[in-house]
Amino acid sequence: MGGSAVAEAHTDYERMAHMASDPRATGRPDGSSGPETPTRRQAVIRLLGAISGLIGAVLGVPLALFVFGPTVRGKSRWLASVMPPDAPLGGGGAPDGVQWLGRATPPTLRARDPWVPVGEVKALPAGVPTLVTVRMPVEDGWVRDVEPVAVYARRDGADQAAVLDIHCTHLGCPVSWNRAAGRFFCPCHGGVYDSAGRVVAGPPPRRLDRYAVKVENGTLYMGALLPPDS
Amino acid sequence: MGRRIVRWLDERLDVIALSHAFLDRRVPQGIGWFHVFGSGTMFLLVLQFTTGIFLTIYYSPAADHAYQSIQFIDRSVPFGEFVRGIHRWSASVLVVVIGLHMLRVFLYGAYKYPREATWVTGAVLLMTVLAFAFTGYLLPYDQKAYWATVVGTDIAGAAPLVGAWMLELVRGGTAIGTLTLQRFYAFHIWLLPAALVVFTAAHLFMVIRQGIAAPPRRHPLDLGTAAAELSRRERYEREYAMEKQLGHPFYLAVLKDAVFALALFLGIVGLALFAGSPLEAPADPNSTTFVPRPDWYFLNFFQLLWYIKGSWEPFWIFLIVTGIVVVLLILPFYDRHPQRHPASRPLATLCAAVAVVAVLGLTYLGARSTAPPGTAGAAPAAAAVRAGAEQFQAQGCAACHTIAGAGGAVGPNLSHIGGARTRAQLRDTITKGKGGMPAFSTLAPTQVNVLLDYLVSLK
Repeated sequence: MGGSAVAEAHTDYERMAHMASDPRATGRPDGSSGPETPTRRQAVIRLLGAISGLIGAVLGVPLALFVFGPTVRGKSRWLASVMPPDAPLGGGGAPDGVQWLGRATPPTLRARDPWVPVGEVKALPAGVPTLVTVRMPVEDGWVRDVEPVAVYARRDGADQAAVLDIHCTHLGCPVSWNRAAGRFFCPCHGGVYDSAGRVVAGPPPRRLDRYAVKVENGTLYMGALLPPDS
Repeated sequence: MGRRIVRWLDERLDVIALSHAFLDRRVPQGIGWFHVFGSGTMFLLVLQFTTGIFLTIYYSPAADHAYQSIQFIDRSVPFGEFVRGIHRWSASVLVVVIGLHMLRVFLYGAYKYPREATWVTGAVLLMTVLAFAFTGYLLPYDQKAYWATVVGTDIAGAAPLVGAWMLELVRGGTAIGTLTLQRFYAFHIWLLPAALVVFTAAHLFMVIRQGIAAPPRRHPLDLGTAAAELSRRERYEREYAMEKQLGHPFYLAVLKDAVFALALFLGIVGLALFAGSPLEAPADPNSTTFVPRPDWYFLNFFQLLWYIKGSWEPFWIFLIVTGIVVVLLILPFYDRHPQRHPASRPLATLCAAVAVVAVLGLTYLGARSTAPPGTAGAAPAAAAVRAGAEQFQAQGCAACHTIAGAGGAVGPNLSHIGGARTRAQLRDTITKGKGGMPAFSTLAPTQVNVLLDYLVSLK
């Protein structure tokens, strides 16, 4: 218990002045050391850290996945088990088998309708790519719209055709068809393609991407982008 | 009245003494005009925050409204184009001033003991500002913005292993659309500013805590006879105390900072008024004639991609980008030699010089890189060979070959090819191809002949 000086102290001021001068006098009835003890402070700081870490982890994982957006949903079994399936906005939905992952230059927004008419096959000049703008239903987040999508269409023979994506496979710049040279040129780093979309010069890692095509009753339809190198 | 309010406040806050101590504290000798870039950066950041906050009053980050909202700011809002011009130009000036700040710190060896952590936070701030520049560039959603972002994000997407994953993270999906714009906006006005505030606070705290580094001396101060027995910390403290004794009060440096800030401000106002903030046509993902180019501060990187070839290109790009980031972050930990004067560390100074020349050179080359074939005028040619020069353009030869400073860099420069190859050799190369050059076997003989006339005339 405190010494005689405490007994003599009559006012709070005097008692506290004594406490400040005597390091052993803590004012605690059992004389134990005070709240400044390093190990106690350490423990409090550690507890604070643990609580912050827990809050951060519980909040951080959902937020990280939140940043990734809708595309991450289909890629994890765990996510699929904890989340309801991707409900399309008011019916419809992406066509089956549309392969987007692993592509460096996805050229268009997510197509909703697998087959879009490009035009009469006979109207396309043979062997010469023609810039055609098709109206394609697309889904971009919450926006669902019919948007123009430009492609290069080329007829080979009577009822065969190819539909090429306009983006250079190097870094996605739009390639332009040069009629005199009979080649596609990229305006960025000198990529050159022939009329079939094969690389003839420059840095592109692969030929121009192609869309799935089919011809029905003389009309050319284009579908999803084909996976590279197919 | 004003004085009474100040006294009333200070009795409660006790900050006047603090600010006097801050302004009166001595800084080392030679803290002068070369030190204004750090505070200039601060000033420009404040300018960016202010104008940026005001721009959000009108800007709409939806893909089908963004461009129109920018047009509205430019055309209908009082001083709209001026405010946007300040935001845009001070972004460019910011990149320059940060570069100068970093160069000064590097040449003065100011990142060395005990300021390593200050450098690391500064490097993080540099990357944050570049992320600001990249995300901000898309927001007007014009052609330039859209296609620069196509290329920029595709570079990330080409990275080995993590590429597809990064592409989706950056774009918020597979394509550039409203999800991309919305997240670029969120990053640009929330996440990046938050990071900027935190790291700027840390950076400034360290600058004040350690004091401004004294400019390096070719012949260091004599620290006294017993100096050899002192610890590194004690030697440093003695030296820094001597430097401060030789120095001057901080407020004299603040005066230079203020003059520099005013100069920056006037320059930016001038640019905003007279150069404006041009807006191109609205973003058109279906344009096949647009020539994508990044904003000038990324041109050096854009140009660098010309020189990296082959199937390992994505790997090299990834290595270069991560290499630059890592080198910047760990610089103070591998360059620990106590010598700080640029003349005393020739290798480091040489590295800085090479880096500056490389960045400026690539930016220059990137700025004058070729338009795609068919859009540029033919190189000047004599009347007799003009038909060949026109063929050269029409066939797209200029996509790969440079003549008289115009053209691509993929193939050999043909400015003097007439002196190096015979007509027969050239005919062979054109019709049969050679190396990376495709065979132009579809050309008519007359076309080949006029082309050869032109090429052999180039001596």
